[in-house]
Amino acid sequence: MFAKILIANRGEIAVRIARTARRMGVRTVAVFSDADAGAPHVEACDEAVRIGPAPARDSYLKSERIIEAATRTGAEAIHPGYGFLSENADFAENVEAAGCIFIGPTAETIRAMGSKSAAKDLMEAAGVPTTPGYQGADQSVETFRREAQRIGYPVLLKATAGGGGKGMRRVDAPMQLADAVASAQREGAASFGDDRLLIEKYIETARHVEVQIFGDGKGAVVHLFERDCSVQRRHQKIIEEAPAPNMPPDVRARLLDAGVAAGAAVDYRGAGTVEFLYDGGENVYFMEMNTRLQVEHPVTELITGVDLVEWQLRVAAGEPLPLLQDAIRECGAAVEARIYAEKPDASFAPSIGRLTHLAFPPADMARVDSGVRAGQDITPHYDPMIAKVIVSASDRKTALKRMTQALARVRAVGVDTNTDFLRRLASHPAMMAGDVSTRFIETYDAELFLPAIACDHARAALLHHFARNAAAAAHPNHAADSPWTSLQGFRLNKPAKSVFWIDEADGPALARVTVDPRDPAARRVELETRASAALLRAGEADGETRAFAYRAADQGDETSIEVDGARKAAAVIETAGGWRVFLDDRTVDFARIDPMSGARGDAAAEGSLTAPMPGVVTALAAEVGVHVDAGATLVMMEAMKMEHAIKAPVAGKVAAFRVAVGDQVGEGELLVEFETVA
Amino acid sequence: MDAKTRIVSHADRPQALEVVRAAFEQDLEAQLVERMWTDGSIIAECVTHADGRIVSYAAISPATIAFGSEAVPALALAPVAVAPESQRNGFGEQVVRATIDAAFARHPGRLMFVLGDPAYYRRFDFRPAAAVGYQWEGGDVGDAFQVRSKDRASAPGIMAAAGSDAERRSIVRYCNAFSIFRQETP
Repeated sequence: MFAKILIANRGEIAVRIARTARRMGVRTVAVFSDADAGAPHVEACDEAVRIGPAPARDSYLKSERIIEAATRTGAEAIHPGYGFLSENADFAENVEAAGCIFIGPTAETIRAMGSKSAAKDLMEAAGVPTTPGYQGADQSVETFRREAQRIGYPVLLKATAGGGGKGMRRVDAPMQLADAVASAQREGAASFGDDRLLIEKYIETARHVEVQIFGDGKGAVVHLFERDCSVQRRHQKIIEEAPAPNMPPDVRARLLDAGVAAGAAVDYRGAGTVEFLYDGGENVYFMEMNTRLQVEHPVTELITGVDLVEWQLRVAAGEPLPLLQDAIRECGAAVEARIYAEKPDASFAPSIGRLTHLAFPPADMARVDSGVRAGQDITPHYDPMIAKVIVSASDRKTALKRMTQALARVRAVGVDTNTDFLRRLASHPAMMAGDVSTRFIETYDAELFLPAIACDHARAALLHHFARNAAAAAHPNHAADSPWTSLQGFRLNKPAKSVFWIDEADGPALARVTVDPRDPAARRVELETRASAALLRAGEADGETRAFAYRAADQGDETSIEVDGARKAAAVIETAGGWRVFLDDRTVDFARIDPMSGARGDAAAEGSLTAPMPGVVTALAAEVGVHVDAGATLVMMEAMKMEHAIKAPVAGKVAAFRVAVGDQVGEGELLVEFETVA
Repeated sequence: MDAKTRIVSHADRPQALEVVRAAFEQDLEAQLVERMWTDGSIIAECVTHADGRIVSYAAISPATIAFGSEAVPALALAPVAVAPESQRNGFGEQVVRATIDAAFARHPGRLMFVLGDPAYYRRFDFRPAAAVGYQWEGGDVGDAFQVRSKDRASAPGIMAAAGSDAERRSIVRYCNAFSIFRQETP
């Protein structure tokens, strides 16, 4: 076994690899960019080497610096993780040329599988079923148009060198094709340095299933069963599970055989994943092979009990496969959910900022693989994934229920997350029934995208939090900096009545809280809605008053809130603009209210012609003074590794561009001066 | 001698300025501190009290590590001042340690830079920054420009990964308050 390895990655996967290495007595070297100097992956390793500035292309993608770091620190092998250089054949070759071992397949295999078109040819020859498509050298729009017509719309454009949904576009009609080709080429060039595309039939109701394989590079290839990663947003997986639900045993057997055959065709070495489209009936089609550890590998680990990173290290060190096919068993079901810093309600746009608070479910509830911690910034430089939450149980339904509970304990403040969205996904009846497909999110979108509506449990949790802090404020050591201390707080040994403002969807509400004389643990709340102080003073409050009662019991950081006989666990964390209330079934933000005016604290102006997030301008897509239709793209920017189009809100013309290509822009920065045409 | 270090309060400011002025034997560094106060560009600042007066002062302000159009936030330790009559008593070290801890408590993920005598700053785990690829915006000052991170500075930690190719150098810019030094030398 190696004495020391270098981990050429960051975030959760680097932390996760370091954990196994440490358990095996292998020393680890981290690499980091300027943005990651104090990141958890740096601390998880025994040594750390700076490899460059924040942008990935100047650090985590700089193969020569990473190899030099390995040579300098005496690392015998390099684990590439996923993403970055993990599927870069030149990197694998250069690592070996420098006398190090690349923990992964041979450069030859990566090259063969890295080109989607070559991979498809190879698999066709090996008898693995593939989808109809075009993957020729002619990259003209005319050819793509002709081929798309031949295959039949809808079609999928993919970067030949791609993966992870980058450089991938669904095209429904001929008129969208030219734009989609241009943008997929740009993204392909930016992400992989290769703008070549291929086109294939888009299978409408498809499932995404994949086989985890492992080879020793000497002819032996085994599978560790399959995963279902059908539930995706923007072609990016967000919930994955093992085994695949509702798959007939004969189809499953063919799938697993096809996976092993694909691995055998290239004499595969190390961990690999063979991805297939499954039409829900009898057919599976080869899509691509990922020559690395997958993000979703933990679900396989939980059903097989195998540590895939340990296998990677053993095979790379020349040991045989730890288990033969007959000895690899599966047990139960496992589900993984990816927690992203993003806004599901705003087309999953990344949410940038500082994580001021971050808490995960305890270890007995879920496995959590994370590479960020409270106090850290989610930057536009890298993938905004915060953590993976993985659970298992004897059966799938129980695993999904455990996932729903575990997600309720993921509490992040400072950025928006997809946690509530994932919770609705995991508990959705169709999900429970195993009725998954790549169109799951579009199909159930009305039930999945719900605004965070306050409920009386949330109001009660907030009022309880205020009351508790008001009580603490009476303590001499407590800094009396809360606006609430100036209001009537709860006072010991006095008839307790307090009044607080609560930010409600339709305006500020006044909550009068009294102790129930018959039950000192219960509180009665009179809620007067639309009751700003100014309106109240003017006698113009037009709100209505209703009442509810709650009981609260503190257990450490958690509070149990009971309303109408229903009990929910709650936690209240202060945010920059107010408070975030975490309940079992939802997360609700309450803005801080100026008690005098009753106005909301946050008055974020929203304009479609400002930068939605920090990023770099990649193209100016309109001409100054030339009329454009509503929805026309004006500016393209790249942020969080994704392209974003800034579009004309209405018909009009660009009066002036305030930015140039290559400019770094901050969130909310004005990009375009736009005039509507009268 | 009983010396206590604490975060600078408003009441400490006039005396702290006096210490800075006396230590540098000129007014520029004191102007820098005043400018940082008015700009609000202080991440952490501490004073050490001994014999009922302030004997040392240190401040940390925001800096940026720029590479092309990309920039990431960092920290800059400056100025560090010990009253002339109180020097060589460890008051400098005491105030610097407290200030570094306070700054990293707020920003654990950032790199911290200092311009100064390597023989002195080595004890705080600072290492020459040029070897790791950082250059001070004011030009090449050899090993005087130094860097550390919160936790790994003393380990083999931050080390150079590649040679000295200028292409990968990141420029470290101090906050606007430091422009008063530039005005001095046209």
